[in-house]
Amino acid sequence: MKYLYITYSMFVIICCIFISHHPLYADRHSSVEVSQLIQEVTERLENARQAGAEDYARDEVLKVTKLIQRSSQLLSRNEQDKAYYEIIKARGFFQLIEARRKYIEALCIAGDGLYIPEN
Amino acid sequence: MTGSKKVNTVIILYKMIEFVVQRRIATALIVLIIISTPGYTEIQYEPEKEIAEAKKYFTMVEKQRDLQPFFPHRQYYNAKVYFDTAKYQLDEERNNTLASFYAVLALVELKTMHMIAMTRQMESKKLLYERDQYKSIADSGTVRNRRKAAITGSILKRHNGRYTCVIPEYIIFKKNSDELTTAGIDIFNTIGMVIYLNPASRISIKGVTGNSSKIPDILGKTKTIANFLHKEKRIGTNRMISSTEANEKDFSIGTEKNNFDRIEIIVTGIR
Repeated sequence: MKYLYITYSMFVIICCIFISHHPLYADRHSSVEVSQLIQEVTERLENARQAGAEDYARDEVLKVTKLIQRSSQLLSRNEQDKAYYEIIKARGFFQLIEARRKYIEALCIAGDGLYIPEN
Repeated sequence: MTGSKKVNTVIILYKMIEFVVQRRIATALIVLIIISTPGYTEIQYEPEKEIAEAKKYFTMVEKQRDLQPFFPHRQYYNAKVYFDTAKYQLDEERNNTLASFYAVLALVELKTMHMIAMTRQMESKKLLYERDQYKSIADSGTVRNRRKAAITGSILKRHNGRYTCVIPEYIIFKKNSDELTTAGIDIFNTIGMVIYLNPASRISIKGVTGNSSKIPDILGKTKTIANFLHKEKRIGTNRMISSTEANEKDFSIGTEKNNFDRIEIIVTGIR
């Protein structure tokens, strides 16, 4: 009887561990919505790359790439909400990329200018 | 947890269970535990670190008093709201995913706000400088002042006894083309005027790229600039030197490292 009780308790604990990995509530964002967002952000990143974003905002481009990968990974695991948050973070970086482009343009034209690096 | 640590944990757990129940039951339980653990690495959220970074950036930006009049209000407001929400999610709701989400958004808004403010400040300074310079030139219209006016209106900067400027290629050339953009035409019109008004001056146009395979491409672009100056400003080819260089060394703009394709201009002989 004692062994049966211990086994039963352990079974309950294991069930709890298993359930803890799967939320009991439904995700608020559908996989179609997240997929569309991933596609939109990927296209914007490609356009930014073609306009030379990697030259003036290398870190930001790398971050966006990483966030797109993470979002796709999470979506493939059916974690739509987490995937949604990651892709919205990635989308936020585009305004920073644009601000950096304008800053460098202003620095060259209106500001102190870029100095030729000393050899 | 690394692979070897996981194996050790399973062995210890097995021995503990075996101590109280039969071996068969212990094996079954261990198999169940292994099945119930996810087969992938969970994404780690670091909201504390991200919130601390956003706070540090907030403090740094708010200390720059001369920059404050140029802050864009929308980004400043958004950054504040996202930052407070991130703190609330971390301290009250204890939701790491959302705390990290809002902290990253706050940091992005802050950085954007900082960039926009610095851009506005530079443009404002340039306007004031030009107003003062042109006023003094208008007061006495000598040839020397006309030369001064041309330099003021150009983007050339005095550095180490020479007039230089570095212009990113994407500002002056159309995408994947040797054709100058409107901004490029404006820039070279003003530089050309400086050289035209200073007959003893010479110009060096150097195309620099971080990628040596792009050298033929950048060479074509330096030739386009030389042709433009020759045709539009009648600057003799004997006063121009054009060259190209592959340079993989990054250079700094603020705290960032960059190495974009660029045109480096050096003008000498200006009196």
